[in-house]
Amino acid sequence: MSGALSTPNLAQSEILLEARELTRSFSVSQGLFKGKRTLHAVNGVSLAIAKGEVLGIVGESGCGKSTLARMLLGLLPPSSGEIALSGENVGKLGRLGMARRVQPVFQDPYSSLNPRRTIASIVALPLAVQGLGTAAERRKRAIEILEKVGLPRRFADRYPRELSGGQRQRVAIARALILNPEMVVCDEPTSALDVSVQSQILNLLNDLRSELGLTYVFISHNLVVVEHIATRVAVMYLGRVVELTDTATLFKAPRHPYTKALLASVLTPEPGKGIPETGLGLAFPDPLNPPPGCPFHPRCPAKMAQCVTVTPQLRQDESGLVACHLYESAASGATAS
Amino acid sequence: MSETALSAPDAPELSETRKLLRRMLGQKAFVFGVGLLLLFIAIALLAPVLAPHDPYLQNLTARNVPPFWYEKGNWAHPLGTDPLGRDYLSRLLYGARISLLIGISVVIISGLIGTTMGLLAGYFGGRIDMLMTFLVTTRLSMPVILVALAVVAIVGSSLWIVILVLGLLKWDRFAVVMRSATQQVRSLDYVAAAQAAGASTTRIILGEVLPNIAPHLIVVATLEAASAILLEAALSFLGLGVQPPLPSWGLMISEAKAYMFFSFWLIALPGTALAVLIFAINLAGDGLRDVISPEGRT
Repeated sequence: MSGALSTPNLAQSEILLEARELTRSFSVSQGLFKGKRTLHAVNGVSLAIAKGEVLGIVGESGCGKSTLARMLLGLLPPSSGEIALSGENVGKLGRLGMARRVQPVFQDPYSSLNPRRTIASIVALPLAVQGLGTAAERRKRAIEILEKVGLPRRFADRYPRELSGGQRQRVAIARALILNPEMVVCDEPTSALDVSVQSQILNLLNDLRSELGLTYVFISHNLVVVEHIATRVAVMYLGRVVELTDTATLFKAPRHPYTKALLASVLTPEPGKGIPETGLGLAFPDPLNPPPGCPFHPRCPAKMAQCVTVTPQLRQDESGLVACHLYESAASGATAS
Repeated sequence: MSETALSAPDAPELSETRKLLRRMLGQKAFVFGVGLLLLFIAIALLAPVLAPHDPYLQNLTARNVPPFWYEKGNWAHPLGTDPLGRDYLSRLLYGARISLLIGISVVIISGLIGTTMGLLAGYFGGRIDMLMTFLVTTRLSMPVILVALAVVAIVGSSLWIVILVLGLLKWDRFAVVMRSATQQVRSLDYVAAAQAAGASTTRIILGEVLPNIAPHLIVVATLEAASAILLEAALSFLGLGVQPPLPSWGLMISEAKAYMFFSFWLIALPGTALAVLIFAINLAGDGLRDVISPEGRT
C-alpha cells in the first residue's frame, strides 16, 4: 500500500522528498499507577514531494501536522517508516547533511530567535555550525541574505527584541535560506503575525521560491493562506492524510466529508453571512482513544455501516487521493486490506 | 533604500552597554547595594593598608578597651580591643576577607556542580532528570550543619575544609533552578532551529541555552553567596568552622558571647558587619535580576 503514490502530474517531475508510512507515537503517562498508553500523533503517512512544488498540509490542531513537520526536518525520529531525500534515506545524510538540504521556518518569531544573539549572529548560525567560512565571511553572507529578505544591513547588529513580528519572521526566513537548502518546511509561518503582515511574508516566500527554486512544505490551519501559496494540499485528520489533491481541485470540488466541512468553516468578510456552520460538532476525538474504523466517522454526516468497522485506505483515482468509503465503489474492489 | 516599508528613520540609538548602564543607574536599591558591596570588597582587598594594627597581635595590657564613643575609649583602638587585647577594627577589616572569600569560592564550586546538573537534567529529561531529582532529594534530606559536623569530626577543620564542605553541599538550589529554566528554554523554537541547523548538543547548551538562563544563575549565585557566608558564621560560631585565631566574624561573635553583658560591642560590631554585607549582596542580586532579565527590557 506504500507504492503508487505519485499523481500523474508528479510523475514527470523529480521527486525531492518521499515519506513512506511515517508513524510517530508517544507514550503518555497516565499517572503513577496507571501505566503508559500510546498516542499515535502521526499514523502511516506517505507523501511524495516534487522539486519546486508547495505542498500545503492542513488540519485542525492536534491532527499531527507539527509532528509530521518535525519528522521531515529530522528533529524527531519516526517510530516507523522512512524518509528519503532524492531517493537517499535521510539516516545516511547525517545531522549536518540533512541541515544543508532541509531548513525550517517556525510559527512564532518571538520564540524562534535567540534573544541574546544579534540578528547577524542568528542568521549566520547555520554557517557557523557547518564550519563554513571565517567569521567575517559569515557575517557578510548573513547581511547579503538579510537584504534579500528585505531587511537593510543596519539590522545586523540589533537584537530580536528591537524588531517587529514581521521583521523577525524575515530574519527566520533568512536563517533558513543561508545554507541554500532545497526544501523549507514552514510550520504555520504566518499565523502568529498581524493580518497586514501575513500577506507580505507570503509574497516574500513566493518570490523566494521562484527566485531560488525552492520546495516548500507549508503547514497551516488557515485554508485561505494555503489556497494562496500551495500547489497541492494534503488534509490531515487524527494523524492520517485523508485527502491529497492539487489545490485548484481541492478547493473547487472537495471530496472527503472532512475537507468539505473545513472549507465550509472558512470565515468570510461579509458579516451578513454569519458564522458558518460546519456540522462537525464540538468534539475533536481523543487521540489516545481513536475511534475504530474510519477515524472521522463519529463526526461524519455521510456515515455508512462499514465506516464504523473498516478503516478506509488512501486511494488514487482520476482527481487525486482520498481515504473515504464513499469513493471506493468507483475504484476496483472496495475491500479493505 | 528600496525597502521603504522597513527603513523608516530611527531615533538616535544608544549602544547596548550605555542602555544597560542607564537601566542600572535607574535602580536606586541596586546602586546602593552594589555600592555597599564594592565598599566591602575594597575593605577586604585593602585590609593590610587600612588596619591600624596587626589583627593577630595580642596586647595583654590593653584588654577589653571599649570603642571611642565610650568614656574609657581611645583612638589608638577606635573600635576597642577584645579580651586578648587584639585591635577589634583590624580584626573586623580582615574578617571581610574571610567572608567574601567563602562566599565567592563556595558559589564557584556549588555553581559549577549545580548548573551542570541542572542543564543536563533540564535538557535531556528522562532518566538523567530522574537521577538528578533523586540526588537533589537525597542532598536536601541531609542538613548542612550536621554533615559539616561529621566531616569536621573526621578530617579536622580549616578555612579550606569549610569552603569545600559548603561548596559540595550547596549546589541543590542551582540544580533545581537551572533545571526548570533549562526546561523552559529547551522547548523554544530557537533551540529547534539550532538543531535543524545541525548544531551539536554541546553547542546548543552552551550557545543557546546557557546565555538565556544566565540571569537566573546570577540571582541564585548572589543568594547562595549570602547564605554561604551566614553558614560559615554559624559553623564558626559552633566552633566547627574557621579556627582561631583567624578573624572570622562568626568566630568573633562566638568568642565574645561570654562577655555579652559586659562588652556589648564585641558581639554587636561583627554582627552588624555580617548583617550589612548580607543586605548588600541581596540588594545587588535582586537589582541585577531586574536589570538584566530580557523581559524587563524595552
